[in-house]
Amino acid sequence: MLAGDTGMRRVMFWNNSRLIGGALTLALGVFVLVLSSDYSRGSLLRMGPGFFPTMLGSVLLVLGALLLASSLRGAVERIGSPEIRSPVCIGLGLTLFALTLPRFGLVPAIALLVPIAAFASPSSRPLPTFVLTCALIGFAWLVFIELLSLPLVLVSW
Amino acid sequence: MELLDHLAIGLREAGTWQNLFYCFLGVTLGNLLGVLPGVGAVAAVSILLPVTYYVPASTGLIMLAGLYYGAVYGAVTGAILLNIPHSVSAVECLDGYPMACQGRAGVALFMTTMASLCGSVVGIVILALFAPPLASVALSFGSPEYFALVVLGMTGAAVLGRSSALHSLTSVVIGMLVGLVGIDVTSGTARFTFGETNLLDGLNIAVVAMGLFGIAEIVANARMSPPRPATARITLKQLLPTREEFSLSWKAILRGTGVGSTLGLLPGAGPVLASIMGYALERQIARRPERFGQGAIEGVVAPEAAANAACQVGFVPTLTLGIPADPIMAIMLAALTVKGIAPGPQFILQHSDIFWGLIVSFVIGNILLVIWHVPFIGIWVRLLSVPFHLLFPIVLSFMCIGIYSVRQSADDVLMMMVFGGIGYGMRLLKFPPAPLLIGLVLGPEMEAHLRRSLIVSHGDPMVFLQRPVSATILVAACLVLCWTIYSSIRVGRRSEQSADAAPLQTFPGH
Repeated sequence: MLAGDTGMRRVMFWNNSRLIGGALTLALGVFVLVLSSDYSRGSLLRMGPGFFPTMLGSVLLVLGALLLASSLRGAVERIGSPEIRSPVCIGLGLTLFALTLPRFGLVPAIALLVPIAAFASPSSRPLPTFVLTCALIGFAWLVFIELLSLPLVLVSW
Repeated sequence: MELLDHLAIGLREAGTWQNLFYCFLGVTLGNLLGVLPGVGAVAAVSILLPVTYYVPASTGLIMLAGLYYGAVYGAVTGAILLNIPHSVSAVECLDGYPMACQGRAGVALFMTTMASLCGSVVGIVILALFAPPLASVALSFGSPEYFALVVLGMTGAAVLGRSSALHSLTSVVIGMLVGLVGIDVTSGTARFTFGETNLLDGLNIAVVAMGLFGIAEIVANARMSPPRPATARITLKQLLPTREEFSLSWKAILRGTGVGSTLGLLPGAGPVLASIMGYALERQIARRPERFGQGAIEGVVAPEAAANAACQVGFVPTLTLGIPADPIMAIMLAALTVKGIAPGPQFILQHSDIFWGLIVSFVIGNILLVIWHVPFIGIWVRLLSVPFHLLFPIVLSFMCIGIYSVRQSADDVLMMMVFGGIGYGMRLLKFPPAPLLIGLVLGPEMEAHLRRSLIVSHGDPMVFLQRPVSATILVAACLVLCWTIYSSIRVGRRSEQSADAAPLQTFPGH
C-alpha cells in the first residue's frame, strides 16, 4: 500500500472498499428513490406500492452516508484485487449455455459450458477437460434425463 | 404420552422408503459437498432443489434439511485438514489445523463427529419440546408482533455475520429491495421490473442464492491451487483420543452445546454465530488460554457442538415463526411456500405429520452421518485432494441444469449469472451475501405486516409500541442494532492498525 511520509495510510478512492461501497450504496439509494417516485405512496392508513420502497431507499441513503463517514475516519480497508480471467470465462460459458440449451439441447450446451468455464483456471489442461466434458454429458443423460426424467432434450436442431 | 404419539406419527412419516432414501441422499451429498473446498451447502441445495418440485413437501424438506446439517458435519473436515474456513467452521481452523499438523487429525475428526452428534441430539430434543408450545404462543400474535419479529430477525442477520454491521445491514436492505421485484399483490403495480415480463412473478430465491453463493464462490476460487491435506492417510487407530484429550473434550462439548442451543433460539442467529461464541467462551474460561491456536482440542469440539446445536435449534424460529436463521433455511421456507404450505405457527398444527417426520428424520440423518463419517474418514480425506479446476465445471453444469429445469427458462440461468456478478462485486467490497438472502425472504413479509398493522390501528404508527410484545421485541432489536453499529465503527477505527485482521477480530465484542 502507499505509505505517506508520516507512516499514515493515504486514503485512495480505488483502494478504499468502504468508500466505494458507501458511494455505491448512496447511488443505489438515489436510484431506488427515483424509481419508487413513480409508484403512489399512499398514506399511513393505506400504504401505496411506493411507500415501502421509498422507506428502503431512504435507509440506503443513511447507510451509505454512514459507510462514507466511517471510511473517511481513517479506517482504510483495502479492496480485494479482482480477477479478470475467471469472471469472463465463467460468464461466457453460462451465457452460451443459456443460449444453446433451449434451441440445441443438452449435449452442445454442456460441451460449450464445461471447456470455456474450465479455462477460468490456469491449471486446466485440454485432455482432462475433454474427458470431463464427455463424462458429464454421459452422467447428465443418465441421471437427469433417464433417472429423474427432467424435461430436457439431449440434442435437437 | 402426547410426545410419544407425535414421535410415532413422525416415525411413520420419516420411515417410508422414499423419505429414508431422500434423507440418505441429503446427508450424503451435504457431507460430500461440505467437505469439498470451494463448494458450500448452498451450491449443494441448488443441485437438489429441482428435485423438490417433483416429490412431496415432507420429502423435499427432509432432503434439504439433511443437506444442511450434513454440510455442517462435512465442513469441519475441510477446516481441520486443509485450513479452509467454510462459513460454519471458520473457527475450527484455528485449532483444528494445528492439531492436524501435529498428526492428531484423526482425533480431531473423531471428537468433532462426537461433538456434532451431541450438539445435534440436544438440539433435536429442544426442537421437539419447545417448537409446539412456542407455536401456540405465536398463534396469538398479530401483525404488529410479526413486524417486530421480522425486524429482530433482520437485525440478527446483521449481527450474525463476521462482517461489519453497516455492510450487513446494507445487504439486508438490498435483499429486501430484490424481494420487492414483481407485482405488488395489494395494488397490482409492477415494481422494479424494468418492463421485463419474466420479472413480474418476482425473483426466484434459488436463482438469487445460486448466483450469490455458488457462482460468486466459483469465480473467486477458480484459480485456487490444489489443496494439500495436512495428513494423507488416517487409520482407525489414530481416531481414538487419549484420556487427557477425552476429559478435556467432554465438558467443552457440553458447554458448546449449551451455547449453541441458546443462541439458536434467537431469530436471525445461526450456526456461524454459535460456533464463534462457543470458541470465545472456551478461550475465556480456559486455564491456559495460550494453548488456543496451537491445537487445543476444546477449541475444535466446542464450536462444532455449538454449530450443530444451533443448526437444529434454529428450526424452532424457522418453523414456528417463519423467520429463517440462515440462507439455507430461507431456501427451505421458499421450497415449502412453493408447495402451498405457509410457514408460521399454523404449520406445526396443520402439518404435524411433516413437522414430526422432519424431527425423526433429523435423528435418522444424524445417525447416518456418524456411520458415514467415522469409518470412511479416509475417503473424505482423499476427496479433498480432487483439484478444484476439475470440480467447479461439474458443479457449474449441475447448477445450470438444475436452475433451467425448474421453469424451463434460460432467462433464469442468465439471471443467476447476473447475481453471480453482483455477489462477486459484493465480495470484493466486503458486503456479506447471507443477509441479502434473509432480507429477500423477510422483506415482503415485513411490508405486508407493516401494511396490515397500520390498517388495524387506523394509520397510527404508535401501535408497535403500544402492544407489549411487539414493543419489547422492537426495543431488543433497537438495542442490538445500536450496539452493533457502535462496535462496527469502533472496530473500523481499530482495523487501522491491522488492515488484514483475522476474520474473528471484526466480530463485535471479541
